Amino acid sequence: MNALELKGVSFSYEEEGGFRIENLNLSVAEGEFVAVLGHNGSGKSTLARLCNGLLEADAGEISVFGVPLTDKNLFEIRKNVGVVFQNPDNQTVATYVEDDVAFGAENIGLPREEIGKRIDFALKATGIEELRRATASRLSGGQKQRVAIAGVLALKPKIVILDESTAMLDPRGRREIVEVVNRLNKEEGITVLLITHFPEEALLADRAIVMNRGTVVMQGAPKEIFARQEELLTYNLDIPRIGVICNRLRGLGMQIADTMDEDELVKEIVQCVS
Amino acid sequence: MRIVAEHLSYTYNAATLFATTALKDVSLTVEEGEFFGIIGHTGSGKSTFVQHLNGLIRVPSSMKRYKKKKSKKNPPLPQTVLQVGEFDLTDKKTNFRELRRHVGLVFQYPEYQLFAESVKEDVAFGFKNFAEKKPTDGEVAEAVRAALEVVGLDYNEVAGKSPFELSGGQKRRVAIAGVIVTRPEVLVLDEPAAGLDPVGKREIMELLHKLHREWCKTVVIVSHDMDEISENCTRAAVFAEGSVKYVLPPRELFRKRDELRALGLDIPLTARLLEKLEQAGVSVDCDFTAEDFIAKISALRGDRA
Repeated sequence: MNALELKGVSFSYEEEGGFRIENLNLSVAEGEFVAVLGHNGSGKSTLARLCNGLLEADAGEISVFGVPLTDKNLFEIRKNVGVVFQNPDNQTVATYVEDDVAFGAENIGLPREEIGKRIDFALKATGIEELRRATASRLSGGQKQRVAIAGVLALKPKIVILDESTAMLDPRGRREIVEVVNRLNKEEGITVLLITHFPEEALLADRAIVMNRGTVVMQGAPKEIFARQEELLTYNLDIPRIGVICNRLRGLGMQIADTMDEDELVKEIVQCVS
Repeated sequence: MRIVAEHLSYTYNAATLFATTALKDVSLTVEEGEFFGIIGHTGSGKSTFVQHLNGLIRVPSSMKRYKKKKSKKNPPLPQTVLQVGEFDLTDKKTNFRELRRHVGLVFQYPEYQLFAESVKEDVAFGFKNFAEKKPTDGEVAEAVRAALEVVGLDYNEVAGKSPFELSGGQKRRVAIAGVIVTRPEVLVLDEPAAGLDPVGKREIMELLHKLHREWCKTVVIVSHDMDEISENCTRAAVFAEGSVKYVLPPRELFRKRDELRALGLDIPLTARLLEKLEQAGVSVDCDFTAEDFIAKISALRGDRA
């Protein structure tokens, strides 16, 4: 059974008209790590909001583990689909980290002991156990985003969607988040949808999809997607910087295999020049 | 306009329990005509420094305070200097409004600050606000048109639109137009390319170079992206824990890879590749731009062939 299934989904913001999702089809398997790429305004964030019912589709079907997303089971679905947003400062509700992480779990009325267990689990999974009693507002951006992820994890979701959650972070914060997400996927088996502008982040995913004008225009293994630079450029996207350098060297006639890995590229260069 | 800071310190919530030192004895000069980079971790003091440059944060009148305390035990602190062109920013009597016309500051995610009903009005706001005397409608319209055009927007197409109807990249251009409309000599931008898609990023950096050539003599950018610094800047200052650790051109700065890593900072991709090549016994001298890296590597093959 697919974790997430979108069939012919369309959506438009009434007041804006033009900007929307159009006849989008997408299935994400359980335990899959999918990176979603797309330029500003391509519909990536709208997709995230549709998947947990923050926005309601105008047409088409969305189902989560086979359960169709409807008004009636909206709250059940939200327990399964956690979304982490872009701005670390907009996602904390409580003064202390543990209270903030508990917020969602309290909201769905879990018993006290269970909430305690889930906080422990969420803090551990995101590697912020030592911040349990820290003041949320005084944390770094990367730490705040980990608190946001922990808050989502406390609901034990099966799917986590990160909507450009690394965009406002510095490189260290970004690495922290990508590591946490990767670990959640590999160790906890959580299905991940990572929406990002950084092509480097997509390299970790099992599959990358490219969105343009509200629909999926490319999909495949990240390496396959990044082998199609020309096409990506037409969607305002680009391949990781290392790929650009690799391609340029090949263009100059160097016998270098296509790679997105720094060590491999260095090996190739060394072989080529010695 | 040259920017000179000497012995600049700043503490948030000074004399309270929550006092945090953001700048410690910072000395830094940015020459007129530079495309200057400021790098450092979150909390390293770079934003605090940048906000000093147009007087959003004032130099506290510490001189008076230390005169009182002056004694043999406490030798006088070195005098704080903060000068942008002819403006002395340590002097309360400085005309800060006039200063802000000459030093434009673009915050992070500046499009969040768009507020007016139309692009035209939004861009006009800064112009009217900082004008010496009330400008005529004609002057305003002309300035707005010029600013929108220099940032690469079609005046006729966008002027009447709501800024919120535009795409992310366009909004950011409008926000930048709203700052450069006063034709500042110094343009300071905090993370100008953050949050944009790869092509949007490239376009914004191209725009900054265009502004640097045609419109603002000096450009200062704050950035986390070391590749951006190595590709674009004449020199860069590294902030850490409120102090300036290095001020160097990228070609020298990124040789200090161990020092930068010790500060928790990244190095550009080219520097990482060069380091690995060196470990494999291939040493290459390169200025860390991708162009130069590619040229040097392909020349290497020529040497040996």
